[in-house]
Amino acid sequence: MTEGRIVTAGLMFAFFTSAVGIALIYFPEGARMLPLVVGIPGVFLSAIQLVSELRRKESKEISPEVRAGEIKMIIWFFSFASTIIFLGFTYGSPVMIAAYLHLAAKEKWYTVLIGAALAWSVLEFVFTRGIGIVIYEGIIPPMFVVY
Amino acid sequence: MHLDVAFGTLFNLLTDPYLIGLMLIAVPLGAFFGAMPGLGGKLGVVLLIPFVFGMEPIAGAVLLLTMHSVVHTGGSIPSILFGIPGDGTSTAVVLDGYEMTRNGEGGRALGASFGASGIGGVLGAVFLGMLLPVLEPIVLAFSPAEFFLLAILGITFIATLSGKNVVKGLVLGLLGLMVAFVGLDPSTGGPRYTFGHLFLWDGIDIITAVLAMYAIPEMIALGSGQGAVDYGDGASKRYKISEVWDGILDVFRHWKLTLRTSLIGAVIGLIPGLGGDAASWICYGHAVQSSKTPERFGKGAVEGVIAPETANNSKEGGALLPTLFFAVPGSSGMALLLGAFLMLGIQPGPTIVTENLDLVWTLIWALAVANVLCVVILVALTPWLGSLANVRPPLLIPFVLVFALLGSYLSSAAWENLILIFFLGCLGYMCRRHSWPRPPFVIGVVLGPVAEDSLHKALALWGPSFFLRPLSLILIAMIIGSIVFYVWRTRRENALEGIGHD
Repeated sequence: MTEGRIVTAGLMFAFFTSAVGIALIYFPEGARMLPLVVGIPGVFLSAIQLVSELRRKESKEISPEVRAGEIKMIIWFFSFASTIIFLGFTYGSPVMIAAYLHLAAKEKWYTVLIGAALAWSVLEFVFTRGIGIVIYEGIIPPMFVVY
Repeated sequence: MHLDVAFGTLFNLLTDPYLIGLMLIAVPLGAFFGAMPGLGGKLGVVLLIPFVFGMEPIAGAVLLLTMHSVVHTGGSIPSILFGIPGDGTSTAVVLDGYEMTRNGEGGRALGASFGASGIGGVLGAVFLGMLLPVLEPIVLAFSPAEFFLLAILGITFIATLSGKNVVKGLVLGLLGLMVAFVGLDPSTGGPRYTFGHLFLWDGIDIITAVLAMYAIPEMIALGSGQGAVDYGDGASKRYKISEVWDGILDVFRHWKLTLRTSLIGAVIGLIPGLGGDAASWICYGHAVQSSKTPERFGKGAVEGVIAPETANNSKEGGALLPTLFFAVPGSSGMALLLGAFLMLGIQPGPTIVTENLDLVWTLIWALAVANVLCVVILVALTPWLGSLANVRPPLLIPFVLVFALLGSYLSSAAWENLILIFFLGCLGYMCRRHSWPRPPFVIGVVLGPVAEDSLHKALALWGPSFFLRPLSLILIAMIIGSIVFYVWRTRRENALEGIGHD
């Protein structure tokens, strides 16, 4: 399995080469100056880092539990972001907080309910009604709820 | 010196129930987040960002700065009671603070820490206030040429101070700059790196970048069990206020040390990138060197608590200076504050001295008052501080995620930011996991627009000859100096390692 440190260095190299390539091909002369001034040293430095990572032999072993935990957390984070995109903050946040507290943190049902209610109350009473901020409604609720 | 403005703003701050009320909310919150290993003060500021939307700029800035300024005071609590630093800057306090607790002097160590933090914070603010009249003509003499070079200096400083990972630091600093170039080009008006998405025309906002680089990776790490903490036997013990009071008096008994380390801390705070760890360790070293009985250090010497704690808090006064007057944040925490200030409509930079002096003084006083309030509140809470061990930080993960997403959305009212923060957050976690220093990225994002705007203005005014202006030459010398210093330091470290191996 390719090590994460090599993937990270490779990603950096890919970012810089693509950014420099895009600047050279698509940007007009005036607009490409700084992206090139910054991007070209970036390509060289990230290449140096990538080569040094490829040459490095030793690597820190991480436990399979931590690796599994990382993947789970990234999936949770993705679920939070996507649920809020679809349901909005007012509905999506309590749902996801309850889901996380119940499924990931294995909390008791009353902690789950209090957590979800707290999140909804803060969003509804502090942000929407208190501060008067229009928070993101999501894609789905506006189809059913008239604001 | 504008004494009328200086003392008028102090009077306004102290007599405004709204501002004092905000500070009374922010102080315990800041201390709590600082005291929870795995959470940290930056997350506290992150959580507060959505709440300052719609606030008056001064009120929002006071709330956030208050919270930020007391984080280190809270951070010393787990260092002293459980031997677990609340944040990186509280590591030096563990050496003697935890030893004092093991010797049965935990209350006294807490008192020394609170007292030293309070006095350090106040002296740091006074230091900043006293520099203001000296600094005003210097700041106003800066032209776009100098601001461009200052931005480059800020990034170089931070990258070269990224420990042994200088290439990684430079790469991430440059990546931050590249991210800052996303949006409409200021000279031609054409879109850059927007890939046909309108929401990217305004660029990637600082708040989203900072949240993705700090809040998200910390939550992923905490949720995957990397922040698990064992509080040991010190948990839930009760401490007496009289013991704490004895510790506070220790700060006055060692008043010369307190003054010296406050000054050292404030000066270190001025230097972008040097930050908290350096301030507390340098001052700890100074306390050892200047002591007549250095053999007591590491075994529970109260001076070993006082020195790093004064430095930790006084450096915030120094660090506010480049952030406010040059828009060059010296640390990731200051970058976060700078982003929040911009969001509130406060434009840091040289004009703040002429156009917004009231705000500058209000922030200076807020820094001082927050530190005093924090001491009072923490002393009152002393008997229950041991109960911190019962708090379960992982419970806060879903709330931090929601508020980070909310802060990101509100910063530019674009739901697409929720997608952006996911990808940047994953990148941030990879950086955290593989020891890529994240502060240079944030500083790059913050300084990118300043650098680009200043460069275009400087080129329009003087052409390439702007590099030859006297102040420009000084800044170029400083940039070269910081790189030479790094090379020298690396060679020396390698040589020392070589001696060690022999």
